[in-house]
Amino acid sequence: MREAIRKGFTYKIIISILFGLLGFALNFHTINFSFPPYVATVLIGLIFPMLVTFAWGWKYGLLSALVGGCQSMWWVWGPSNGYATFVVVPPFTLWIVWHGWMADFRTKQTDSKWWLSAYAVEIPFRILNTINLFTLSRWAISLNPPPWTWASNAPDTIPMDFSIFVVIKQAVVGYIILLLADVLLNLGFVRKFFGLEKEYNQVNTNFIIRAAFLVGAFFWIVDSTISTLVFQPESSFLDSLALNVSAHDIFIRTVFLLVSLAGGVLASNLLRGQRESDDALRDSEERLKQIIEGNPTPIFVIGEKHTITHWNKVCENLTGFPANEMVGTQKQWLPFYSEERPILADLIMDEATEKDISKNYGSKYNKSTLIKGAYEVEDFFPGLDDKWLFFTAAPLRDHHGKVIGAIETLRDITEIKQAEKELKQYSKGLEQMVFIRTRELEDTNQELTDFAYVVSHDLKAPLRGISQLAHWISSDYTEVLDQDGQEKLRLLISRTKRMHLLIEGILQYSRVGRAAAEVQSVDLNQLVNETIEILAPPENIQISIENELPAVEGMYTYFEQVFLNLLSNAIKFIDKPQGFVKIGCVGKEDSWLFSVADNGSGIDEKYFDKIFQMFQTLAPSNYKTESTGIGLPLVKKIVGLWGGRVWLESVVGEGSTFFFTVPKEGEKNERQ
Amino acid sequence: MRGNKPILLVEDDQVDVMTVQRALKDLNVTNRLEITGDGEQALSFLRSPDNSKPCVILLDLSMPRMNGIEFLSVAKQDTKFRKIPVVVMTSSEEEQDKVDSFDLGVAGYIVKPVAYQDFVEAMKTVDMYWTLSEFPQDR
Repeated sequence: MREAIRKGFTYKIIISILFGLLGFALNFHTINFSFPPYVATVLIGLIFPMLVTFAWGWKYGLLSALVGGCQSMWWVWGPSNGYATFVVVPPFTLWIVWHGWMADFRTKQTDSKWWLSAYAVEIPFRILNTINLFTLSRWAISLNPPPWTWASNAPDTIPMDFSIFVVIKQAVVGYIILLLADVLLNLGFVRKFFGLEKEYNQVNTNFIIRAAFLVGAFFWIVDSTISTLVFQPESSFLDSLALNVSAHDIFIRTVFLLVSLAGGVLASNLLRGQRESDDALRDSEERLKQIIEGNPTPIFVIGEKHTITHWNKVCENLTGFPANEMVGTQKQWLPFYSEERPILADLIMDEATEKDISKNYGSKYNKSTLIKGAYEVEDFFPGLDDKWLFFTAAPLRDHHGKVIGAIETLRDITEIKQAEKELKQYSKGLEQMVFIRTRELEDTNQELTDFAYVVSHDLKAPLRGISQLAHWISSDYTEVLDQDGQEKLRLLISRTKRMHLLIEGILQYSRVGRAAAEVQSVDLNQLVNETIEILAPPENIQISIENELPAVEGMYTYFEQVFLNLLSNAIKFIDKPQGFVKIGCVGKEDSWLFSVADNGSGIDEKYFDKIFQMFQTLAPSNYKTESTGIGLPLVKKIVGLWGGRVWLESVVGEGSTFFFTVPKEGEKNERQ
Repeated sequence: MRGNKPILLVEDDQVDVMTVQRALKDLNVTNRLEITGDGEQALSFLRSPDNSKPCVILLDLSMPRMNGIEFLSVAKQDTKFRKIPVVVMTSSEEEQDKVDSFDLGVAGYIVKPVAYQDFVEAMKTVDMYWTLSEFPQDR
């Protein structure tokens, strides 16, 4: 609660005003040092606004100074300075503001810089003020006497000696005030009063400053005693202590006191810096230890002379060797090997070459891709419960870059290795399973194909019998059968012919992918021309090859069947007096695209799928076209077999174009 | 066919037998036609001393008990029957059947046509060929 008040706005304003008034009052009681013919007056009251400005910054400093801290001089020096008062007094306020501003600036800095200290920033101010005292002030003096009566005695000229004296005096007083303010603000209770944080190691600081003050005070007393006893036996002790002391003695004693205090502040500051960095070091060491200790990865660190410096808890668990037995020794090999040998961390610390590493780890090591200068090894440790370990050692360097140790992290990968092994076995088993299943599937497929083949094959024999018997009845019993009987027998024979065609179709279809034939280079130009010859199209139909066809790798009969079926279909469905069929081929990136276009009757889009199904024919069932509906399914099966695709575009009444693709080299999947 | 030795038909299908009989009659082939229903019967016919050796064997492949290929593998082992020309007459267009048949030394392989007239044409060719061709004496 009291802390909060001390940091509060009102408290600061009240104290600033109060200190300003205190300073105002105290400045009338100047400490005078006589330097004949001049008297040096020390305005000790300035310490109050200076404390405020140091503690809380320039705004409060300005308030304190304006309220009174720096205003007594108007009265003290007014009569003797005349006009010069106006140029001599305001710089004191400026002085307070300047130091407050710099104090604000210092608190914003992360680390202290000597050239920002109050003693350093005093210099530029002092230079400006000195220039002022030598120029403006002297010029103002020359304008004297002013019209107002209380300063009518002010001289219109001052000797240069006096100006020099004032400059020196002000510099000395300035530094004394700064020093005293600094001393006071180093003391714990003063800091508390201003609501400032305790200085680091405040107790020692307090002690040193008090000691310095006591040393100064002790000298004062000793000097007084000696004066009384030795030099001026007639005067009393109190006279020589404070009441009647010569200016010279006061000066000597004050200087000594100030030097003691300056020494105290300096010493406490130095000590504080030292303590701070010591503690920071200890903290950082402690933090490092905690980082290593709190890490769930087994870690150990070796330092000077390969001695173990850290060996964390999980490392204990992994190796079974407690840290208190390992740290401080050079037995890092012990948990891992049966006899003493350098381990990876040792090699890394010695900046060993890859040759040296391979001497110890064969080909099991790798350069780390993540950490500079680090190496990783995956190895099996029979001495460590048959564990597999993956460990990485990285060099530790000092700020010069010199290797001063190494850190090694270990990972128990036994379970991963085990899982890997199981996975390998499993996938091997899976592969075998897939192989067996594939074989089974292939066998089943083959059986099905064989079945279709055998069935259709066996159907042919009785069909032939029916056909022939019908034929013989027709020819042998001409007299017995009437016209109607003859017609029915003719129909019977035509149906057997159709059934025969269907069976042939199935046979042909099931033979695709069954028959063993050699893959060879097929010149499609030649093949298509031969096919056209076989088909012998009627004269009103013109078949043309639009561009030169490529030579492809494949089975001759397959290409023949594809072109035979597509061309015969095209011819079959031409319904115009002038028919044409155009064969084309375009080379794509990885396949050939063939097209067979006609100007026949065309196919409605709704039949595009149906025409590729077995026994689906769009011709009326008058059997004149001898269409069995096997041609296009056969084409589809063959094209599918080599990994191609077949489709069509068609406009009813205008014609159809069938497309199919043939993959280029090495992509055909022809089953033997 | 040359000479008057019989023709041996190995065939289990009655209609096919009738077809052959009818075709030979239509072609005026005078050689007697001996008919056996399967490979075993054909072998016992050949082995019987009462029967004279045929000039040509017309062999079906798919038959019960002993099929055509099995018959061939036995008959062609036997030096006494090896020289008798065998013409396979079958409905099988299987490449494997053709390969097996020729491996076993058949003289011809005819796929039975569906239409009777085509069958007659095929038989005519067989008859013409084996009328023209010489046979070794000692049979």
